[in-house]
This record gives sequence, C-alpha cells and structure tokens, in this order.
Amino acid sequence: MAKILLVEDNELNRDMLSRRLTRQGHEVLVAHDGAHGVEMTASERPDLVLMDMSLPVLDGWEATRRLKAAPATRAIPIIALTAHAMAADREKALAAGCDDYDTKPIELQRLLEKMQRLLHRG
Amino acid sequence: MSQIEQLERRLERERRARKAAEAIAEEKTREIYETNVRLQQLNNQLEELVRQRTTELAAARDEAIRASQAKSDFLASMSHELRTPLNAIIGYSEILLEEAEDLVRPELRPDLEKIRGAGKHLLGLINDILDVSKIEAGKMDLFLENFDVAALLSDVSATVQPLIAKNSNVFEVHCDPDLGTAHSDQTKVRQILLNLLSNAAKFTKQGRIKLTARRPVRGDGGYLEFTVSDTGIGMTPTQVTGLFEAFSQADATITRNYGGTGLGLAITRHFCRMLGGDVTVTSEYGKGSTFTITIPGAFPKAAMEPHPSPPEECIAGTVLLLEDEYATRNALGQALTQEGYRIVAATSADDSLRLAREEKPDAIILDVINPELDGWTILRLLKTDLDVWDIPVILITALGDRDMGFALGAAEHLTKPINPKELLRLLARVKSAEAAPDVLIVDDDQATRDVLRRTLVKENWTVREAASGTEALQQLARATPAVMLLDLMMPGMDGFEVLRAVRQDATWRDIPVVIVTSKDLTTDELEWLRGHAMDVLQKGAYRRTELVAAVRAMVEAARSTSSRPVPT
Repeated sequence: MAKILLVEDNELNRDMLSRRLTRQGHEVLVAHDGAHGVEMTASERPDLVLMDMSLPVLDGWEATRRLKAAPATRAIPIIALTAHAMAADREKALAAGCDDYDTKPIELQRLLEKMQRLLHRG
Repeated sequence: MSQIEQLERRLERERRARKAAEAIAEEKTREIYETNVRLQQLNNQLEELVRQRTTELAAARDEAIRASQAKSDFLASMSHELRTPLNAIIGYSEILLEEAEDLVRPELRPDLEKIRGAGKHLLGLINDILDVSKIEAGKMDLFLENFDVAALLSDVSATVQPLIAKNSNVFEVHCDPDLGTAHSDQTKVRQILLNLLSNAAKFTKQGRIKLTARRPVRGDGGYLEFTVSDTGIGMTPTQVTGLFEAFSQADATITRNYGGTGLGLAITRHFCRMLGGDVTVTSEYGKGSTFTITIPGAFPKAAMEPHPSPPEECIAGTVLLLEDEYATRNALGQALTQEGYRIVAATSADDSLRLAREEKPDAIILDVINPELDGWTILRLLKTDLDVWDIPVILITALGDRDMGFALGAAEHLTKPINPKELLRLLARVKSAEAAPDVLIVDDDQATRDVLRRTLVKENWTVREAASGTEALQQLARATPAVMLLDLMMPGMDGFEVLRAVRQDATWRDIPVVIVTSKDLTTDELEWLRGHAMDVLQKGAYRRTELVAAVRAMVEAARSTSSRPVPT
C-alpha cells in the first residue's frame, strides 16, 4: 500500500513493527539511527516516516527538524514514537515539526489509524 | 618605747601586710591568666570539634543529596530497562497472534493470549511501582496544558470499553454538555479515570458501570466532578478505611482473586491532590461502589504538593517562597521542608510584601526571571520597606545571556571577557542608523573602561565614561548617548538601579543598554551580591544542595549578626 520508513535503533522494536506493518501490506524500509534516517528519507522518498525519538548519532528531534527544513523532504509526514506518554515528550516532538506522535508500547490499531490519516492527507 | 620606734614597728607591719597582699594579688592574677589560657585552649578545641562536626554533617547532607539524585537516575533508567523487554514480550505475542490467524491455527490463540495478557499485566504493575517510587522520591512532575474535557472522556471510554465488556458489564456515560476546556495535567487526569474505571470493571460481573462528568461553577475555572460507580462486589467499612493507602489492598484474598498491586488508588489520590483536588468513595458490600473525583478546572496558581510542615519544635526557620512556576515551587518547597523549614508561598507582588511583613520569614526566595512576577520590582519593594529590608533574599535567575538581559530590560547582554569584534557588531546593530556613534561606558573598573574605550575609539565611536551609577546618571543628563554599556556590579548605586532609572525616564527609556557581566559570577561579584543580602542561583543548574546551603547560611547569618548593611 505505502512505502514506510521506520527509524528505530532497538533491534526487537524494529523487527516487531516492520513485520507487522509488512503484514498490513506496506513496503517497510528501516534505518538504525537518526543520521541514517535523514539520508534514507532523502534518497528513498517514503510516503511516511515513523521516527523513534531517542536515537543514536542524531536524535529523533534533530532528524525531524532537518527533514522539515529541507524542501525535498518537508512534505513527507513524520510520526514520532515517544516512550511512555510523557506529555513533555509529546510537546517536544510536535515542536520539532512532527505531524503526529504515538506512544510506546505500540498499539497497532491506534498507530495504523494515525498513519492512515496522514497518508490520505495531501 | 619611743614614739618613733612605735611608728617604725607599725610601718614594718604595714610593709609586710602590703607585701603579703601583693603576693596574693600576684597569685590570683596568675591563676586568672592560667584559667584564661585553659579557657582559650578549650575554646579552640570546641571550635575545632564544631568545625569537624559541621564538615561531617555537610558531607552527610551532600551524600544524602547525591543518593537522591542517584535515585532519580535509577528510576529513570529502571523505567526504560524494565519496559523494553516487556514491550518485546507483548509485541511478539501480538505478532504471533496475527500469524496464527494467517496460518489458520486458532488453537494457538489461547496460549498466545495468555502470554500477551501476562505481559500487559506485568507492564501495569511495573508502571504502578515506578509511579509510586517517583512519588515517594518527590520526583513526580506536573505538566499543565489546556485540553478538551469531553474529548478526554471519550478517549478514556474507548480505552476502557474492552475491559468492561470482558466481564459482560454494561457501560454508561453521562456527561454535562458544557464541560469545556480545562487547564491541568491531562495525562494524570486520564490515568486517574482509567484507574477507577478499570477497578470498576475488574470488580463487577454482569453489572453496570457508570461514568458521569459535571462542571459546577465555583471560583474561576470552576470544578470538574467525575464519578465512577459500579454494581460490583462493593466493600465493607473496614475495607474502605486504608483504601487509598499504598500496599494495602482491601485484603489478601482480593489480591489473590483479582490481582493488582494495591497501588493504583494510592497513586490516584496523590494525583488528585497534586492537581488541587481529591477523591472520595462510598460503598456498600455486595451492592457496589461510587468514587467521586473533584479537580479544579483551572490549576490553582499557588498550589503546591501538600508537604507536612515540620513540627513546631523542629522548625529550622521560615522561608517565604516567591516563585510562579509550579514545578520549581514544588521542588524548592520540598527540598526546604525536608530540611526542617516551614514554607510560605506567594505568587504576586502584593501577597509577597504582605506575607513578608506578616510572617517575618528568616529568608526569602525570589524568582526574578518570570515576567509575570516582576521579581525586580518585588526585590526593590522589599529592600526599601523598613519592616522587611533586612530579611536576606535569594534570587533565582537564569544567568544565561538572553534571560539576564531581558529580565533587566536591557537590549543586549555581553559576557566577559568581551570580544571586541562582537562588541562592535552588537553596538552597530543596536544603535539606530541616524544617531551619531556616541557611547557611554559605565563601569567602576578603570582597566575595563580603558580596554573598551580603545576598541571603540579605533572604530570612530565617541566615548564617554562613568565610574559609578551616580556618574552615569550625570552623564545621561548632560547628553543622551546612542548606546550605553553598563556593568551590573558596581559599588554604591549599582547597575540594576541605573537600569531602572533609565527605564523610567522618558528621554532615556529608548537608549539601548548593553549590560556586561561575567559568564560565571566571580567570587567578587558573589561577595558583592551577598553583601547586599542577596544570593543568586542559576535556575535549572542549581542543585538543591546549593539552595539549602544558601538558605541555611542566610538564616544563621541573620540570627548571629545584629546589624546589616543599610541599603543606599
């Protein structure tokens, strides 16, 4: 259905989410850190980016800022994946330019709804 | 005997008596001297002991603070460490459930559901335990925001629906039409409601669970009143007492049959109180229970977590706290209460002055960075009021470049050592295009003035100097400069006063002022501030240790000295 880029440094989380999204019919690409995530977004032009916020090399907030600042990647929607519903994390994600956020642990249905909303926008 | 012989004998007797008296006097003097020497030695020993003891106590205190910080770090990392593998257990069991469905292997479902269920249950327990740990360590924060109450309720209802349905219960929601927007901690309100609703779902079978929401108007913001009632197993009066205490679930059989940690309600009540409200319960055994939560619609400004005041005999002192931000006020209040200080809080200039006069605190902590609080005005008011001027004041300020400047109404802020290029660029930017390049340097240090003058003259600036605040005002009166470079820490009339005078004068108000301070306050500057019965702490960067130490020092200094420097 859509090309999704998942930027997540934890191996298990990456495996779980990419498998479940693939099963939903999406094409899933993965990046292991923030810098890699920015590069891949620019080169692969996914329809949506799922960005874990705490990443090595470049953190999720900075990666988001860069993607939103570049004209080539500005329009690609980004969903921040933040840990444990800390309200402050949520604000920070939106302030960095994320289009939406979701909290871990991931509830697939909830995440899918948010993804659908952004994919059918524009 | 002749008269002469009689007189001679008397004289001799007198001489001998006098000599004896002198001997006694000498002996007494020596005794006094030796006693004094011994006293001096004892005094020295005592001072040495006190010094040692103080060092030991300081070390113990520092150790306690370190332990507290370590606890925070532990909680944060434990939180992450515990949740990560659990998320994997839950996540993979869900993947397997999906794949079992794909492979049409329904017989695998129940086992996988059990794994997933146990994982989720464990996650709930861990979250509860971590919350309680955070609360007890005093590290639970509030995050205030505006949110739509009805939206929150529908979100909560949707989340709890499957749990309620699991025991074949019926769920009813009755909300007032005009619940509006609330200003509070949304995440905590959600957690409170979910806790009560999931309890209701857990303890009710084939019954009815009802959620109601009202907003009775009482004061600004009104109140939010939620009730969660069920037709479940209910509680006996014995079970109700201690219901909200941590670790005392109604009784052991409950735990065995229904699970849970016995922590949820303790957390719920703590959260309600943090938000300025409370929770109550009525119940009838075998019939059901009703929990009522009341929370202010708009978080009350001067609210603080209820910290018990130390008992009368143990009070180390009273501290008046003038801080607008909840999180800071709470953290400070707690740190000080733990040290035995009684806290009085104010959030406005009027309250501040009134409370300072009424309570005569031993120290005042004043946030000068918050625009709503106008700390500088309050400071000025305090220092010029005959009743309270001698109460020591601790300023909390962010000594970062921008904040300091703007807090003082300065156009810009430079830190020493001054980079000449930066200075010139800044001056050029700050002065208006038409004005002649005329700058007034105000600094009591000759060397600083020389350096600045040389730099500026080379770039064709006309330079005037003032070595004090008073001179600065004289120079200003003579002619209005295009820019003023102002040192903050000057003896006599200081930079703060000059700035205030400049801001209040119609002709001078628009002169761009660049204030100059050291990046980190030098010992001299700290001494200067302390001499003005002030201590300055960097917001965010300060540690509780420093604050507590400062308060203690202030209180002790105020108690021991009888005279204080009179404000000029």
